[in-house]
Amino acid sequence: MSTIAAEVNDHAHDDHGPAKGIKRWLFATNHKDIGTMYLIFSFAMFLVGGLMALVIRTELFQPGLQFVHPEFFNQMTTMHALIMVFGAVMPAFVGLANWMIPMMVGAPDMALPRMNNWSFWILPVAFGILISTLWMDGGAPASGWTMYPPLVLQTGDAFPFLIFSVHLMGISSIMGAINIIVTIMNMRAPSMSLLRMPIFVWTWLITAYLLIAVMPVLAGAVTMLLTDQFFGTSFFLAAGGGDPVMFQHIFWFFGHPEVYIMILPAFGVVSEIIPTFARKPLFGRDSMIYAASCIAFLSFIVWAHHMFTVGMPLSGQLFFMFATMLIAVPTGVKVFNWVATMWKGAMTFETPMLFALAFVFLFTIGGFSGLMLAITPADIQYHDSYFVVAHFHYVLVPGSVFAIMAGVYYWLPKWTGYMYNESLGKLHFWLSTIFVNLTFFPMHFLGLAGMPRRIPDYSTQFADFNMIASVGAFGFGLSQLILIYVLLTAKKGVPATDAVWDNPEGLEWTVPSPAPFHTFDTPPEVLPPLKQEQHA
Amino acid sequence: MSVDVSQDDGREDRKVGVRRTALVLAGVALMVYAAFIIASVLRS
Ligand code: HEM
Ligand SMILES: [Cu+2]
Repeated sequence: MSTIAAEVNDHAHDDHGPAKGIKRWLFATNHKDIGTMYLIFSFAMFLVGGLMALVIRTELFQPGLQFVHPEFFNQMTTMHALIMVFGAVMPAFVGLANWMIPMMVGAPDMALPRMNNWSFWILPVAFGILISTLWMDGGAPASGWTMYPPLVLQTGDAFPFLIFSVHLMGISSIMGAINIIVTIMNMRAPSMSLLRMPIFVWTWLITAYLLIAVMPVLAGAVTMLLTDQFFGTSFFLAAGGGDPVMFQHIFWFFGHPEVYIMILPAFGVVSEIIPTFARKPLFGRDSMIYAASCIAFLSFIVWAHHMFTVGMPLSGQLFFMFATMLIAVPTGVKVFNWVATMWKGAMTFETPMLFALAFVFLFTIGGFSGLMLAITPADIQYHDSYFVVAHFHYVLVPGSVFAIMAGVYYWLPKWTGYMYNESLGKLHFWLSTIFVNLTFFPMHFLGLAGMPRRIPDYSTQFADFNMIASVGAFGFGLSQLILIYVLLTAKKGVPATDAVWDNPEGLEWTVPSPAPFHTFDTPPEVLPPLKQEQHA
Repeated sequence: MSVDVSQDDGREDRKVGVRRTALVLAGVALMVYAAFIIASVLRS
C-alpha cells in the first residue's frame, strides 16, 4: 500500500535530482538520461561503422587488391551495414524519442522507465558481442547484412554470436517500441487528442507498431538459421528438403518495413523543423499523418522487390512492382507538403533548417532511384549493382542521417541550455552535403555501367568514379570531426531562451532550457494553440 | 501515507492502462515470432 501511496502523491519525486556518478547512468530510469545515452551510443557506432566504410573506400580507391584481404573486405561490408542500421540509425531515433516524446505529449517520463533502462543497456552488450567477432576464428560475419543462407552458414566461430547479437538487438527494439506506444497511448496530457499530437510523435507511433510487427519476424528468421546450423533442421537447406528462397522472403518481410522504420521518424523530425524556420504552420498536417500511415501499410506488401532476380511468377512481379510504385504517392504528398509549408514563408536558414532542406532534396533523389529499381525489367539489370548502393545510401545518409543531425541541432539548445556554434554548424552542413554527394552520386553511374556491389576489386573502366567516391567518403568522414567539436563545446555558447527559436510549436518549448530533470510531473492543463488555429 | 481518494487524478487508472497495453503488445510480438516459425515448420 505504501508504495502505491508514494507513487500516487509523488512529493518524494518532485525534488530529487539525478543520482551521483556512474549509478546515474547504470541504473538510469529518467527518459532524458536514457535519451542522452542512446544518442551517445549511436554516435559512437556511427564513428565505428564509418571507419569500416573508410576501409572499404580505401580498398576501392583504385582497381586491384591493395590493402585488405577479400575475406576481410566482405567482413567490413557486412559489419558496416549491421552497425549503421542497428547501432547508429535506429538507436539515434530511439534517443530522440526518449528525450522528446514525453515532453511533447506532456508526460512526466516514459511509461515503463525500468524497461527503458534494459532496452538501452542491452545494446552495448549486443554490439560488444558483434564487434568481438572480428577477432574470432574465421573472422566476423561476411555474408552481407542480409545473412542469406547457405552462405551465412559458412561463417566461422562468429555464427552463433551473430545470431545472439541480432536477437538482443531485436529484444531491445521491441521493448523500446512497446515503451513508446504505451507512453503515447496512456501518458498523454488529457487535453492532447491524437490528432493534436506533434508529427514527430505520430511518425514514431507508427514506427513503433512497425517494429513490433517485424522485429519478431527477423528474430524468427535468425532462430531458424541457428537451428539449421546446430540442431539438424533444414528450414533453408535444399539438401534436407528446405528452401533457401524462403529465408529471403522472411528476411525481406522484415527488411522492407525496416527501411521505413529508419525513415518515418526522419519524416517526423523534418516536419517539426520546416514549420519553425518557415514561420508557417505545417501545410496539410492531417494529410501528413494519413500519408505516414499509408506508407506503413504499403511497406508490408512490397518486400519481394528485393527478389525480382530470384524468380517469381509474372503475377508476382507485377504485384510487387505496382505495390512498390504506389508508395511514391503518399511519399509525394509529404514532399509536396514540405514545399508548400515553405511557400511564401519567412524563411531563415539556421543549421537545423539547412539539414532539413537538404533532406527534402536528397531524400527525393533516393526516392526516384527507388522508383527506377521498382520497375521489374529494369531491376533485373540494376540488381546487386552499385546503382542499388547509390539508392539506399541517398535515402539513408542525406535522408535518415541528415534528419538525425537536423534534430540534434534543433533540440540541442533545449538539452544543454546553450546555443551551439552556429558558424561551425553551417560549415559542418556544407561540407557534409558536398562530400555526401561526391561519395554517392558517382555510384549511380558505376551501377548503370555494370559495377557489382560487395566486391573488393573491379574492372579499370570504373576507376575514375571510384576514386571520386573514395575522396568524397574521406571528406565526409573528416567533416564529422566538426560535429564532434560542436558537440563538445555545446555548453560554451550564449544561454538559450526557453523557446530557443522564433515561436516554435510544441510543449517542449514551454519548459526551461536546459529542460529540468523532471518535466510535466503534473500534466499541462491548457495546451498552447496549434499554429493552424492561431491563423484561423 | 495513504491514498487520498478525493485527489485521485487518474494515475491509478493510468498505471493499469500502461500494464495492459504493454502486455498486449508483448503478446503480439511473441505471437508473430511463433507464427513465422510454425508456418515455416509446416512448410518444410
Ligand atoms: C521511395 C520509395 C522507395 C522505393 C520505391 C524503393 C525501392 C527499392 C528497391 C526496388 C530495392 C531493391 C533493389 C535491388 O536490390 O535490386 C531497394 C533497395 C533498398 N532500399 Fe529502397 N526504396 C524506397 C525507399 C527506401 C528508403 C526510404 C530506404 C531507407 C531509409 C530504402 C532502403 C533500401 C535499402 C537499404 C536497400 C538495399 C537492401 C539490400 O539489398 O541490401 N529504400 N529499394
Ligand atoms: Cu524495399
